[in-house]
Amino acid sequence: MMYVADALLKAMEEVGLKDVFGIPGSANLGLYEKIPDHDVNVILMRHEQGAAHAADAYGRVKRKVPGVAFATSGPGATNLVTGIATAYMDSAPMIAITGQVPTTVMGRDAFQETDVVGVTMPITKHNFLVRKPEQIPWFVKAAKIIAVTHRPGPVLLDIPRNFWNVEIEYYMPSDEEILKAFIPGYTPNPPPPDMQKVAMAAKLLAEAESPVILVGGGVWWSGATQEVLNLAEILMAPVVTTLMGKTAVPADHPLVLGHAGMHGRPEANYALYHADVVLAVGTRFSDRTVGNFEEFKKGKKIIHIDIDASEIGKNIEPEVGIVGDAKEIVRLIGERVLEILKGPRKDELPIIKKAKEFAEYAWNELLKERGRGLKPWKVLKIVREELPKHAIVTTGVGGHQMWAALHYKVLEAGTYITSGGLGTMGFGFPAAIGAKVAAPERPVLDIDGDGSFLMTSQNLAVLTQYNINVGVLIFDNGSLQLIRQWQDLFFGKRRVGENLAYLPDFVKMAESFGVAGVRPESYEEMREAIRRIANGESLIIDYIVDPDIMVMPMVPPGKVIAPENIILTPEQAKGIRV
Amino acid sequence: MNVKLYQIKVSIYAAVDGGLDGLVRSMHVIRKAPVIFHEMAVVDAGVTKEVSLTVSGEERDVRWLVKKIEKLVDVLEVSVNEIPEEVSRIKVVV
Repeated sequence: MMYVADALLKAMEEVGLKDVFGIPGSANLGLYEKIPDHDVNVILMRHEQGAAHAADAYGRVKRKVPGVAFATSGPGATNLVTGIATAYMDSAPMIAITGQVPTTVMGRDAFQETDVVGVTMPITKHNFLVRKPEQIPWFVKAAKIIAVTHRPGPVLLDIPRNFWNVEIEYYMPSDEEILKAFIPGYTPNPPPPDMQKVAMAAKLLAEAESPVILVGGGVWWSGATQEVLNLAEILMAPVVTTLMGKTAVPADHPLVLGHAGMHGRPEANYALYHADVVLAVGTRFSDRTVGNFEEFKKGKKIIHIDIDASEIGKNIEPEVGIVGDAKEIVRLIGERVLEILKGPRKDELPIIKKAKEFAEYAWNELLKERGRGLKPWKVLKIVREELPKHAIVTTGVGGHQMWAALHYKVLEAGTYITSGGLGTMGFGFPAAIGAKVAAPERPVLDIDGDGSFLMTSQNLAVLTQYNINVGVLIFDNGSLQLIRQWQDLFFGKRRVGENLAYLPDFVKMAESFGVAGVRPESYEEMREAIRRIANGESLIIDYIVDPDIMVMPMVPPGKVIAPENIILTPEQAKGIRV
Repeated sequence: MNVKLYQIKVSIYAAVDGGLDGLVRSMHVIRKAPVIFHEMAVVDAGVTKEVSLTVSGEERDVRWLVKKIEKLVDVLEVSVNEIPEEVSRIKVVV
């Protein structure tokens, strides 16, 4: 016999859930009491939102091991919500375990009672209110299976606090028992690919004049990086990515043109827009990627591969939709294309040259000297030069995120973690903590904004307390930069609510938490600072950015990613309202 | 607009939590779908709750809704059938 709290922790140990980010409270103190008896590492975050982001990023790095967030009932649980929604939107595996008020008072507005299962139903892959304490190991194993298999996502377990001291017979079921008796409606493995559709897709691609491969985050989850590059090399076709797909392919591959979308690279937008056949892999066709669905679809055929059947045709109706594992399907398509072409092509398709010619013109304009101080694109070039290939970069949300997407080159798959779907400010810093716990041997840098960093910066204390070495590069322009930019470009220059007056001195703030801080004033000083992070040091870099340097290029919201819609200078936005 | 009436049948596994959570989860999906919800009946069938829904909408949207419901962890089975308007007391309004 053992207590439920021990059973939960033992079950976590058995399924490999050994790292937890959380905050205790009255509804989970019975759980915390037992932690010293188990091989479970618990990190005290300074706000539950940070705990959820850390757990999310941990899962993004580990892929098959979700991070875990602990929170108490009521406000503890509701503080997790933004982090859970972030993980859900980016299909990241995580498990949230919340304490709940005792069953004896449940539903009666007890102190710190919130129906967190009800609250999180639309933003979790699944959630459970534990009703039978003897089933705790079943819940833990089911949560892990659901979180990491098929399309990954967050799972929440809500456990009434009067259960912690209930004694149960510990029994850990097998995966088969879980799938048969506990979650029989769940299919962990994707269906085998429809070979007829694979053949159709291969024929379309082989016969296309300007095929383009659009890589989404699903390529990372599926581990399909090499298969995508192999197919691109057979076709000699360009690869462009979504924001989430940026982490899935190396930017230094000659066929990779970078990410497309609202702030996409001109060459990527050009190629994607002018493609006659698009092979979209593991992407939900976000409006931020293509701009306008109807306009984008004109004159092109779409092949859409996704593990989630409900994504096929959701935003864009494809000519061929294939449900299944991206890695297997892309491999099969590659084999068929190779047969049709009787070998790989030797020369790059003309669309690549055209895209690069357009980009050359665009970049000449975009990289002109403008504004005061150190330029974002030059700073990010230094970051890339100084960090090793396997270093992990996280980002917050805002202007800095778009600068990083444009100018920071991912050289190794899985090393770029950003909040793409929900666009959660405050994500970057706790995500960096989660990433570092998941991969302690790698340097981790959070590229953040002043507004974004402030939202979760209380977690600076975590670095010092647990000796977690993470760097933060704060783009400090004293404003909510993208808000200011949108107001300037599309809302009659009426700046309201974007001015971050009375910002703290980030260097002193870091030092007050026991973390070193610097404010570089030259590119050389910036390089030295980044080098310290590359060498594994915790360091906060307060990078002063001219707020008048807008993030360009930009496609106005609602407009398709056509070259004529790409704004290279603020003057080109004149007269546009959104 | 080719709006028609459809009956969606959903079988929800109820052995772990009684099936109410699965039902509410399904409702969360349906309420955001581009269909009009008309009526619903739920029957207790022991280890499952059998749900019958009537919605109207375009076939493409209804089929997408079915796929969204199908992927819920507690849903065992989903089926959809068009209801001929002449046999329904619900009139489709476009």
